[in-house]
Amino acid sequence: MSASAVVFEPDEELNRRTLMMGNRLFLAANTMLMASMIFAYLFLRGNNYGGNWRPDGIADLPSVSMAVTLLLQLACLVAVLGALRAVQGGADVRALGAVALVFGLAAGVARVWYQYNLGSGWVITNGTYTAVSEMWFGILIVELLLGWFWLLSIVVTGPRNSTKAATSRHLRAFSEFWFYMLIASTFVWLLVRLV
Amino acid sequence: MTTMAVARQPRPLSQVLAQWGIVLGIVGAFIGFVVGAQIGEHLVPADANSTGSNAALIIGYVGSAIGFLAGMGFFNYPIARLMGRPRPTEWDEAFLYGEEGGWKRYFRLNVDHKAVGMQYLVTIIAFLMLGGLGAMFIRAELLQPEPSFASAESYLTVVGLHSVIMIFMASAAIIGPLGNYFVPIMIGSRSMAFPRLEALTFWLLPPAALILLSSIFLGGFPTGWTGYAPLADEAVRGMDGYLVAFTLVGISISLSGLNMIATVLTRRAPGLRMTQIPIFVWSVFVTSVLGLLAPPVLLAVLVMEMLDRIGHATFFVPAGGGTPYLWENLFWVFGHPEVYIFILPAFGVMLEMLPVFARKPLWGYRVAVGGMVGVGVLSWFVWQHHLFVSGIAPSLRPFYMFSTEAISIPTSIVYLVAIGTLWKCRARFTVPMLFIMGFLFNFLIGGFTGVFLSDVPSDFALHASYFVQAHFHYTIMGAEVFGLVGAITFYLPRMTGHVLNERLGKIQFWWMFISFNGTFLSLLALGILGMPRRVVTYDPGLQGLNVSASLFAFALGGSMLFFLFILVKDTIVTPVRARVVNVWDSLGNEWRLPSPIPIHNFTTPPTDWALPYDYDRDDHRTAVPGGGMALPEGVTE
Amino acid sequence: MSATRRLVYTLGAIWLVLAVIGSFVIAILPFPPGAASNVAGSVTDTIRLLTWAAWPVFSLTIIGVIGAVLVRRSDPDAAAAPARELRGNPRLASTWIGVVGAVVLALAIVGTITLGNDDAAQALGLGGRTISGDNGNVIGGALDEGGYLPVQVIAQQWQFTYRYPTLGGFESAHLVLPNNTNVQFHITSLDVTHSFWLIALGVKGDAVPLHDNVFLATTQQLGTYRSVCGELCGLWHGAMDDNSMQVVSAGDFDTWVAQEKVLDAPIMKYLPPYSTTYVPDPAAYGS
Repeated sequence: MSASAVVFEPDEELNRRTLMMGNRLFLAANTMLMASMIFAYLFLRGNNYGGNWRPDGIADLPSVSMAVTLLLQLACLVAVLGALRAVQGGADVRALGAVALVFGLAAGVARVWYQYNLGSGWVITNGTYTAVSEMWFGILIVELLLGWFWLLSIVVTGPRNSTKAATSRHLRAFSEFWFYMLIASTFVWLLVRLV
Repeated sequence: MTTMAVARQPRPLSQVLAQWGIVLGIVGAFIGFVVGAQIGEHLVPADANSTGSNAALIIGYVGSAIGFLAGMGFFNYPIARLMGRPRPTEWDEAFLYGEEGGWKRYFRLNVDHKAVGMQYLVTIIAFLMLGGLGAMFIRAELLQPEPSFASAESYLTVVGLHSVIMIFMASAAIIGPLGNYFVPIMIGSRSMAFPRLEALTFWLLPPAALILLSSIFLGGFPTGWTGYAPLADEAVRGMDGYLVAFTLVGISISLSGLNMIATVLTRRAPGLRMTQIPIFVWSVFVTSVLGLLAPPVLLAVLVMEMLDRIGHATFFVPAGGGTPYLWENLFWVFGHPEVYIFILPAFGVMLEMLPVFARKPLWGYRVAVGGMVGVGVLSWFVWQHHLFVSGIAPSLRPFYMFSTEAISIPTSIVYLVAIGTLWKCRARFTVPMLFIMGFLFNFLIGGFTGVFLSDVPSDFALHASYFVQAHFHYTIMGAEVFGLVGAITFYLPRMTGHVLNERLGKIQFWWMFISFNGTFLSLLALGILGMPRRVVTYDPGLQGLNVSASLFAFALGGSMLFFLFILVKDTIVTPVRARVVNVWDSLGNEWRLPSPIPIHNFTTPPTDWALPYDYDRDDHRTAVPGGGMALPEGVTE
Repeated sequence: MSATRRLVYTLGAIWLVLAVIGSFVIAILPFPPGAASNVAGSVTDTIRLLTWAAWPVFSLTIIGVIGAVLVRRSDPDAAAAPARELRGNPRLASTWIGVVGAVVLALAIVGTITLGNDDAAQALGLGGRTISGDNGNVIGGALDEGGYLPVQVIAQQWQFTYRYPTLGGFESAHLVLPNNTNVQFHITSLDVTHSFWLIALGVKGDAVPLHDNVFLATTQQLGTYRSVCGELCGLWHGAMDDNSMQVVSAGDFDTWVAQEKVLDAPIMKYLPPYSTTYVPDPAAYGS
């Protein structure tokens, strides 16, 4: 009666296509979220012509710490891609996967620390510039940390409880997601810093 | 009856807990609320002047939603993977798909898309009835030009609740029950692309509704469903319920859209091309693109509002550098595609049923698909027609006037296809066919009133009046809800094996159609005569039309109760089972499966695909599937 | 002549009769908002035009659906119907799209011209210009001289008040306007978003805090009119209606202004100076 395991064998190719498509659709929705924030930022900026953007008393975004955070995100991505190569070659995901996890966690922790140490004047009650920027950074932090848990699940399940096909498609999808986050993080920082 | 009876070793804890389903979900909701409220209280305590911390309430609500989902078991699989546990056992899979049957399987996490469809069906009807109660309250109050039995606060709260509950209902009315139930079957798939995600999209709705309703006890919310800031900023704590509930529903719509797109694109049976899928599946597909992409904008603007309320940000407060126009623009960038999310599946299901009762192929299938895609694309370029008198730059208005009027072109294609299908047909006026006719009449009025609103000079007179009310009730209720009732009547034999009484159904249709038009034609007239929306007092000279609208509205409410009566009577009280499942003699592939449909739909993937509309071929029942599939072994027609 | 053809001609004739009768009725029906101002006249004409264009199409569609159902298909034994009747006729579809598209384009062009052209349309075209404040300070926005009477409409929860900057800046709780005058409404709000809707004059504009929305209209008709709030603004949104808005003769208007100034004198010293937007002191007003 329980026909689930009987006739239909797991189709790895179908699962791969499904996961990649689902991931990309999620990123499309995420792009709409980012687009809303871009709209909000530019709209609020345009609404404040005449000297209130950026307001007095708000420090410039620090460059060095943000660059370090972005580099940590990049390092995580490189490690993930390395892990993907390793898995496709038959090796264990856990070696490079652990490296990726460390970099990813460091990036997430750095961003959280950064959120509380942006500089003088950086509170959301201090006008819309700080509010929209901090909200945007906050969204990125949430997405990065949740994504990190995805990576954790990939690395932890490892070869014992997951097939090579499953691990490599998850790594592949994760790398696309993480790359997207890297681009988004860079873009947001540049926009808020320069515009 | 399954492997469960055979197992003798003690169950793992997770399996024991899983059987408690919704009970555990409710427990989780309480725990989550308390934890969230504590966190919120700690983060942003209540001001000296306020009645309580908004942060506590919002984070509490979010916590209750997370706790509910945790209790339902949505985190079991991710946590199992994080702990390196092996893949789900056969028992888990059978349990998740509700293979043991029975009513209990609807009250827990069930990844069978047909079960999710049934869950949606009941929930959508519940929302419809609940929202309808609100409407009765509103119309009763509006019998008098001065406030009568309702206080200003309760009136405004009920207006808000009526509208938000109906928005929740309309956003999933057809995709929820029928999209989830039939899309995988119609494309020859055993399941949706992401079955667990599908269950999640459903289970976000009950917490959303309860969170919304809890705002009654916290003073309600004064903004109506559009939630305009800065009024939302200064509102009492009931506003927070609206914000969180709408967030949950937005996430549900987006995830449902993701799932439908992935399913239609990756799960079609081998050999099934996109040009051969039923028109209903196309409508779900186009809707899902809108559904995936529009709610994130809503999410952004709702979070901004939460930050305004919790953290005293000033996104929408001009004195702090913000602007109400930010809310208006972002909200309507979501809001306009949202209403096309309402209507497109209704177009699809209407065109899907039409050939069955016209006994004639669907005329212009590709043109219909083009029309739906056209509507979907254009829907992104019209939102500022809600802002014509708000103070936007005047030079923007001709563009939005043109784009809004242009949407009537692809919409008219739907009418062309319907008329083409009806031309020289041999119509059978069953209950679903009556609802299709009602749909066509009502949406015509709805669409034309939209053209009046899209024209800027005429919008000067008609914006924010009851003309707008009549317009969107004609399109949402007159078309979508009429389509829903017709579709329920049509698909019930397939979904549950019951048949609704034909004679009572026809009476119910005419009752509903006449009272609906009486109500909303009266409101149309009121709008032209200058009655604004959402008011509890009005010009005494307009009382006659208001009384007319209210009396017809009470009759309309009666007709909806009558529908509920027929439904409950023929499915539960004195069940009437169909002798043959394919009551309407439809060529749709979904009707050729055995009854009840096997848990995984097919044992072998179907082959030999074609559009299921070949009613002109008299030998359709014996021909090689020109709209059929290889039937499972042992099953005859 | 086949039964189908007869039916089509009959239905066509019915439609023609309905269209013609409808056109006459629409031409003479008194459409709101009326002729109390140039804007109202223009809006009324637009609504009449749209209804006049919509009625034939609406009735044609209804008759088309009814006719399509009435024209029954031939016997199963008769020759098979042509494919273009059964499954689709691309030429017909293209024609349909073309015709509907042309109608839509025509409506949009007419609408835009109405927005951009004649005196009243000039008013409509300028209606909605916003001048946003920079943390409350007004930038630009000089008051119009020469031919316009500026009237500021101040919305707050839950009352409209009116200020006349060129007549001494006094504030009144009721709106009175002189007849045959160009009026420049400056609509703003003190708290949340409202909307000033002067129904019979066809004036509608959102009242947004720290924004100045301008709407121009020329009064044309003496009378007493009704104004309401058109944007949900809180509990007593419905109570912001006022049935005592008046358009009076020039002489009566001057009399009224003089009276109002006298009435207003004691509180004038508490009013802030005229400005296109205001930032009320939160501690000073309560609601």
